[in-house]
Amino acid sequence: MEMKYYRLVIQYNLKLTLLFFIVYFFTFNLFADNSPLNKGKTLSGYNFAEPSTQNMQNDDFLNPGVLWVEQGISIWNKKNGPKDFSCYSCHGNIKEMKGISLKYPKVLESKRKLINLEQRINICRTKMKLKEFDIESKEILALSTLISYQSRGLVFNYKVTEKNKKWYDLGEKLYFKKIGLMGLSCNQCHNDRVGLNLRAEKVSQGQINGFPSYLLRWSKVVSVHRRIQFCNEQARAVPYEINSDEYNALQFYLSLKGNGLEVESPAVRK
Amino acid sequence: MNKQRKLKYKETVNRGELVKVKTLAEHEMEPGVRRDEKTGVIYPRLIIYKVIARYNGKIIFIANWFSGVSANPYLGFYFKADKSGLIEIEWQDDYSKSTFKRGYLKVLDKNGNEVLPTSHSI
Repeated sequence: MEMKYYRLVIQYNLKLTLLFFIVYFFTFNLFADNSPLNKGKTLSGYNFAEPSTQNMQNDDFLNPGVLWVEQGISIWNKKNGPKDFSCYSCHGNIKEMKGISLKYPKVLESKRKLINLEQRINICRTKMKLKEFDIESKEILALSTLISYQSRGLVFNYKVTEKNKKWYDLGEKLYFKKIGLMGLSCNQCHNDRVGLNLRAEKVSQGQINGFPSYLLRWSKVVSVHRRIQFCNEQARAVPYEINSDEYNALQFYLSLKGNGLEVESPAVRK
Repeated sequence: MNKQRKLKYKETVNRGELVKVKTLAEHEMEPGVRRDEKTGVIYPRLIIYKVIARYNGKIIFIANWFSGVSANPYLGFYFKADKSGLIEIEWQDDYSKSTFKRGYLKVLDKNGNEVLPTSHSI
């Protein structure tokens, strides 16, 4: 004799619906709590990367960004110029630079503008009466990666003061400004659509705690400004220049947005 | 600065234990199809096309690479060692430019004595 399931359903209709709701309620709550892409928290880009990329970052041997760190050490100790100075002769051992990268970008009193770590290194170079490093060259990235590498594991703790209030406002304005052919602003992806797919990638919160980081797409270490330029190019907008005031302000706003995150540089990203 | 080559393994192992050897080479691995954006000139191919691993002079591992391997390539492999000896990795570049990295591996027997690669008994 055949079973008639619809009869069972009619008989236990109320109990089944109750059971369904109970199961649905529990699973929904569980997923909501455990989801790493929860919108409320501040999350590093590490949580949005693929497991293979995360493995590369965990092991310092696999991480190609460490090659830049080791080149940085050799530049740090190399003596040159008319004064025969190296970075070591003034600043001493590299381990004393712990926490320095967390002070940048900061306002330079003499020029009354915001500067980042790379610009600071070039100012140091002119004091040594040497030629400045080119923008986005390997040497300057090696030095800035080396200095950021020392403060690995420290927590972002930026504050808005009277001096940098003006730059914070400019950064916030740029973050919410709609640009390009598509009329996109930063917050539309990195605040509203966090964790969703953009083609094959997960949209991250756009935190910059891993920079300067090794990007697999270009197989080299890049600065924050170069990465934001690429973001603007993808939104079909004309990017600003690297080390411009606008990008420095945006970098300051982003680092304030990432308060509470650990420094991961050199991180590995896609 | 010279291009860096890295080699890492567990330096003292027991006899018959699997040894994991990890290598990393700093190299741009130009595939030979990319063009200069302004002039349109093709960058010539420049890759590491062969990696050879030797242990006490004997070849234990060979990898043949073609264009398409990523920049700064990582290579890891396992092998078993009976005696102590010299690990030598050779990266063969285009224009037959070879770079080497060497290291000593210490193999211990059950009693904790080192197993030397040559025997000195008369």
